[in-house]
Amino acid sequence: MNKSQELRLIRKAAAGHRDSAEQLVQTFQGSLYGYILRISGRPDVSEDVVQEAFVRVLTNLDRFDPRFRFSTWLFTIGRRVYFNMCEKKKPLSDSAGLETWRDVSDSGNGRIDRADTTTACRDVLQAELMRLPSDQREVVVLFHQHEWPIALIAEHTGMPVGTVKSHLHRARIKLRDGLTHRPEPLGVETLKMQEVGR
Amino acid sequence: MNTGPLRSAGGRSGPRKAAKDDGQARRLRERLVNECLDSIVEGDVGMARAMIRASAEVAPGADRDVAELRRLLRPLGKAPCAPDLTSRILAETQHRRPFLSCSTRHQISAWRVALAASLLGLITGGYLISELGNPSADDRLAVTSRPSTLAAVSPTVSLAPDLLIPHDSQRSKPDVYLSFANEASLESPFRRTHDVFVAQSVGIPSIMESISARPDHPALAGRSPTADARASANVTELAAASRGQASLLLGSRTPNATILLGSGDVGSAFAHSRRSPEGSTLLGGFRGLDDAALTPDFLRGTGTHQNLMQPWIKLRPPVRSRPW
Repeated sequence: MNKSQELRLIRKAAAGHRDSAEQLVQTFQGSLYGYILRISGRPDVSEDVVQEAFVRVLTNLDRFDPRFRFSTWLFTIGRRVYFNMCEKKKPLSDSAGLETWRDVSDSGNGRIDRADTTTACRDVLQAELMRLPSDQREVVVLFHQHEWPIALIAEHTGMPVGTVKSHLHRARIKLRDGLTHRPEPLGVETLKMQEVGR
Repeated sequence: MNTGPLRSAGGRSGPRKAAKDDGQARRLRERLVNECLDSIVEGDVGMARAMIRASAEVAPGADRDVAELRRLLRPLGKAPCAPDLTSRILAETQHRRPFLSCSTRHQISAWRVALAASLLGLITGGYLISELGNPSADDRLAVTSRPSTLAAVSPTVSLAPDLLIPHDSQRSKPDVYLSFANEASLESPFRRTHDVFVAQSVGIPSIMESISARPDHPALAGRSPTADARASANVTELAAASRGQASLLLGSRTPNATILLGSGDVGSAFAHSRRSPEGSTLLGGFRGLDDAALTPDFLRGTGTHQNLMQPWIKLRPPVRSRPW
């Protein structure tokens, strides 16, 4: 969706058009969910955050500044909702979040289904992500998952560009070390299998 | 020479130095890999290649590290499968701020259009009314050429005893003042005739003083005892314009300027001055007066005009060489 289509949808949704609001939600819910899921590690929290963020956005669409992208605004609100939720509920620790992630991803028998290699890889990767400090995790997710420029990440997170780069670099090194020297190198193995398969 | 300690120090420092060098090389390579990866993800692959080529000697194998890291992070680019929360979100939004039905939206649009149209109509109507009520100065001057109007106004102004004409009235001077003062102010007139071409004066002293005190316009003519033939001759043409209850505009054309005397409220007099021809001067106006009130008695200062005077409104320097 280009920017003009996006703006048209926003204008119509702001005027009370339900279908346009629905289209906005369907277009952007996946990316927001992925962002929150990556930084929280918890699907239930992500769902709540996505719902609350969208409701706030849809009820305040008249405040949207058309100079910016809708996704940036949505992510900013989602991030705020998530941090507010963290403060209120004092969520589980990162390892607990990881467990929740595994519970959802497992095929019900407590073991990752090796047939779903992509899911397995992402699980391993998510496990390593959850070992990162939250700042580094968020920067890595925004940069590599959503391909935001560093300057935009800096604006979004309120950090200087140099700090964002530094977080990004440290996070990559930790991820690389974690993924390659993993005691149970499931993720890397699976990745290699994937590469060979191609 | 005892070189034992040096050798032993060298023996210890060798591995330390090598380790230090290794550490530096490793850090350099990591930094290079990170910079390359930043460039690649941000779309500048050429920059990444150039960096790798440039540092091939100091950081060999950096390209392999970049490829490895990209491979490890590739799954991150795939967004996790998200549940469809659309219905939940829309239901909650509907609860907090209901969506509008199609007919309601059309009604709101129609109301907005109607409101905008009525506002536009109001503004246009107001503008038209103001324009019709205050025709431009050029129109007024054309209207005032009617013989009946001129006949009605010329004697009035010509008979005014306070019509001031300096002795050197034939000299071309830039400033022309039209002011109003009462009889008292005229007892001690300001005589700076060298700066003045012509001045007419009826009104209250404070106005005269305020005019004469202006350093950039220091002139106010002395009093002519009577409205003699010269005075009448100088008021070569009078321009009077009034339509209905609109204010009256008197004009006196001289070789160097047009003097406009507005009667009416401040707003209308000011409007006259704004619409007057280039080089005109408007100094005062009468509030609440119509044509009938502008009588010879009034202009002589015997009327009750003092409380009706408006202060100085506007002065614009006349055009010196404009032919009339």
